[in-house]
Amino acid sequence: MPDNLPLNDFDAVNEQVLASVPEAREAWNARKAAFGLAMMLVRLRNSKDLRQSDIAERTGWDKSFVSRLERPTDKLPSLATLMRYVEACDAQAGLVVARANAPQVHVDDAVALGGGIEAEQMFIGLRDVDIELGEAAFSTSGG
Amino acid sequence: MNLQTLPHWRQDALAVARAHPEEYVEIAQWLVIARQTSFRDEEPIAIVDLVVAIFAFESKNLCVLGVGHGGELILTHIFIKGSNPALSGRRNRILAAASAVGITPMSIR
Repeated sequence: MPDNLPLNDFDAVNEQVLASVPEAREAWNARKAAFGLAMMLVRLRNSKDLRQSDIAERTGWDKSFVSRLERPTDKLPSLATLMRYVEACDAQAGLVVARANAPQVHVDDAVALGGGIEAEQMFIGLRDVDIELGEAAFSTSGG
Repeated sequence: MNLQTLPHWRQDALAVARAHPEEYVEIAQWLVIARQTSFRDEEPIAIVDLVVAIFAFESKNLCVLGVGHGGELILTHIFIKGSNPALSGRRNRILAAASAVGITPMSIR
């Protein structure tokens, strides 16, 4: 491992570790969906300036359950649970099927998982749409 | 403890990843998320950077994580793998483990 890495730069060290230990990279990739989902929930909650206790209050869940949802585990939460969390953040959950067509992403289909007619219309509006992301969005590192 | 006095921690991370890749990933992903959420929720401190201090303890059943803050390493979270019937003395054992590697824990939750 190079000595010029900042000692307190976790991301840099983590990348080095994943590059050096194939088993760790494999384990990282195996948990990618759970990790991405947990990150999404946290990003959403933070963007609304909500705390875990706010989500707990709005959903009637225990705060420890909210905390568990925000951790990547082997067992993914159900769609119903995800919908409830997202709606507690004043947003709507949906599924989007898309494919890369650099520098764009083409959304083939999208469907609301909950909400009313507005949510349905919102996701219908995403169908068969090209979204410009730029080449940078398609550059990858590692895994 | 100044973080700069911990030149070995990244080697520790590498060693843990080699010996226990799944546990390493579990911790690493948790850290990435914790950087955004846990401390924001529970402790209004400015996170300078996260540093992982992983101490295998009790036959690799227990890991302690810390966060670097203001030149101190604050022990923050505890991972316990599998069942452990003797959790009553957990805090003291963690303190002992931290002390053994020269880290003064400021808080443990």
